[in-house]
Amino acid sequence: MTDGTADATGRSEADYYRPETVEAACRRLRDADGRVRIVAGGQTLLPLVRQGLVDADAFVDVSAVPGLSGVTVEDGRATVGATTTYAELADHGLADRVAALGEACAVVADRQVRTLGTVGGAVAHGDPTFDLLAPLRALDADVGLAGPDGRRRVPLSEFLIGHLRTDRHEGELVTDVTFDRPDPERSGSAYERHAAAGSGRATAGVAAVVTLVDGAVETARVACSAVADTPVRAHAVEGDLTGEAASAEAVAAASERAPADIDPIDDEAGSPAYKRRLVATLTERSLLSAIGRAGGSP
Amino acid sequence: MEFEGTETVPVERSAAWDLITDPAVLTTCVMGAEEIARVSEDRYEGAIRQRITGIDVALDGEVRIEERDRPEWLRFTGVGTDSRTGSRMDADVTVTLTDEGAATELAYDVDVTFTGRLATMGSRVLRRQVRANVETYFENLVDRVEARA
Repeated sequence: MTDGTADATGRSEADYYRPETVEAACRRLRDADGRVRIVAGGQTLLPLVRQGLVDADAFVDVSAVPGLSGVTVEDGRATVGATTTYAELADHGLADRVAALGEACAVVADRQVRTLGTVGGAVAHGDPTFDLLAPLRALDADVGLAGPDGRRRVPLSEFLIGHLRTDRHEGELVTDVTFDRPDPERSGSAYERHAAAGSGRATAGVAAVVTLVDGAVETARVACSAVADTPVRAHAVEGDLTGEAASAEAVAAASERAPADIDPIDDEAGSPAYKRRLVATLTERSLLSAIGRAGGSP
Repeated sequence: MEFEGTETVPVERSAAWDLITDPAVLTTCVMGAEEIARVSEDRYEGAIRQRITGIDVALDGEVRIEERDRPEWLRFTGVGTDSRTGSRMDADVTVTLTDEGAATELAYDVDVTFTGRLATMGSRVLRRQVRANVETYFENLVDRVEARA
């Protein structure tokens, strides 16, 4: 427990709640004594608990709240519930239409994490190496939250405020992410990533969402995972490509600008110079793939 | 893990020196710092509490100025322990102050080591977190000076 009553093995006693509505979950978050943790799939939280890095006086398990699960598309706006798992999102028709989502879900960690890990968990933890965050950034997603003061929506770009830091307030719960589904007639998307052999975690990843008009790039949105404190947009690449012919040459030239917006660190996955080179390459691959899916022939 | 960088504060060197050795300034500029007190000429005690999405860290510790050449250069060490996770952080920091007209450039060199359970988080997480802390400290310092200018 946070007051230090854990025994020598790190085990502690904590209350466990499994509410069935968002309102009941928010009440538990508000009323529980001491430090409360929200859990759904548990794929990030429970390893930290086992390592002794996280302890809590109470857990609020939101996986039984029906309103938090599932994918809907209405009037061109997609909503992905917080407890939707990677596997459920990948199996949904939306992931066929928006290929970057399916491709990101397919490479996350391992099968257990994909089966149990949730979209809301990825968003709430805010780890920039989480693959799904890059496509969500490229889709200009926003985050729904429910808390003691009611509900609010925040753009994902503002919700992720730093390394492992989010704008989630005390007692708040991530309820969903929403974004405009790209025009299926003339848009395409892709997610390309590289992970060291044996590591489930991205060394770098790049998501691209492209819309074409008359063989030219109308809009291009590119987001990178694992190479900054948060998943960042490659604005230089986007700016260079917008209005250009959707050609392999234009993509290759624009992709070289990807390092301008990233801030990789030196860690066990590689040096900053290596990651900058890698991101340029992954940007080119994801853009070419997205343009092809949008009906272009780069 | 080592970090280095520079930051320019828009005050003269002796004022910059006073700023970086003032416990009240430390408390407002270090993320999550609580009640840093100067217990002697060269020794400060205090606590840092940070909540990142994964874990809560509560470091109790002290900072000691090991060497100084006012107002040009100082080296200090910090030790913090987190009793909940049984972890310890050791920091060795050198700051060099250089005149830049009416402003002062602070060049810093930071070496941080973790032991205990926090160390098991690996360089991927810790490097970014420590670097964010170092950068935020110096940015806050500049913001504080500019707000008063």
